[in-house]
Amino acid sequence: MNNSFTSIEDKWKKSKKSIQYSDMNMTSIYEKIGRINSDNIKFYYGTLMILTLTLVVITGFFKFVAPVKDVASIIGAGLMILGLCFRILTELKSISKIKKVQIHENTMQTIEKVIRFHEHRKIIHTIIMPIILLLYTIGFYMITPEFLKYLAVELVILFDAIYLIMIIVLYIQFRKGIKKEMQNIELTFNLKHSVLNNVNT
Amino acid sequence: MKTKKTDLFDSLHKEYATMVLHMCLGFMSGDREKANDLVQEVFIKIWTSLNSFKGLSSYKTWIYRITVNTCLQLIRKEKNLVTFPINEYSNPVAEDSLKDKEDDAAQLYHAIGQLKEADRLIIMMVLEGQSNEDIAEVLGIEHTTIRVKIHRIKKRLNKILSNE
Repeated sequence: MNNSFTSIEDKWKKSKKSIQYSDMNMTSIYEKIGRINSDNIKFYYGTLMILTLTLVVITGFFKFVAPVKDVASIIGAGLMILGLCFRILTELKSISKIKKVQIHENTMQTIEKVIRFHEHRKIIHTIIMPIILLLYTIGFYMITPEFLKYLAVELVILFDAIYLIMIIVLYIQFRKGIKKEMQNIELTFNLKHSVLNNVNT
Repeated sequence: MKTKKTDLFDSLHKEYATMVLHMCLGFMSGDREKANDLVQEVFIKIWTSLNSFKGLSSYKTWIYRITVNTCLQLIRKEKNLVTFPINEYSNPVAEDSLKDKEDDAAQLYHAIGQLKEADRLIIMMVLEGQSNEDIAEVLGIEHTTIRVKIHRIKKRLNKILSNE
């Protein structure tokens, strides 16, 4: 076996001389590097910015546009805002987890961190997000009675129906998210095994 | 004006681009176009990680780590990596190279492409003359594990080549 592999090595040594990286033009690499920073900001902070904006809009709505007065409504608005704050915190945690994945570390360290990241995302999708959504929903329906004082019943029913549709869409998204994270975990585990275990002969 | 970082990056690119290309070609079963894209991606990651280099290993080992991780990340990104058949090896590896050398390389890349993705990277490091210790360091696994693993990969590669 060693002899035949030595012949493979010899063949490789001879042929590799003809394989040179010919594109030494650094311009395209530097152009891509320039784009990386803005892509990274979008990747890491895109969702965070959307969530923060939503929080500002909702808080502004309850403070300046429709300041609720009933205790139940105030608690409801508080639950909605609290749910969003909680969601922002989970996003910050995700960013910190993904930033811990360092491409220059050894393969096992990288794989372990990727697995931890996807496990964290799975917990977010399976436990944290439904709790946040529940808080948000309870909050939303606690406000409804006060809205009925100022708005037509049909309009409030329309709001509730739209909210219900939104919940169904979000539920489908969570299911997809869970499936995606499970696939990622499985794939990364397979990679880990493929690095650790022996090849199939 | 060139900075210290760009000077260092340029010199790393000049010195290691071909080494990274060999790894990427092995990983991509000899597809030059995809391998070139991968080389660029590796060097972009080298650039973004350059400030984190602490000098605990050589630049060569450090670049190998980034190359292996980038290649494996590609599997996660694309879910399934396609193995390219020999007749798709259309882009010559070097325009001025001899035909038979290209054929040898193409045959070898094709055979390597039939190994598992992680094994392709390991055998490329073996062919590039990396020691077992260095490969174990790049992968972060035990020296004894890598020794057994390399033995099995060599056996598998021999089997593939003898069947071709």
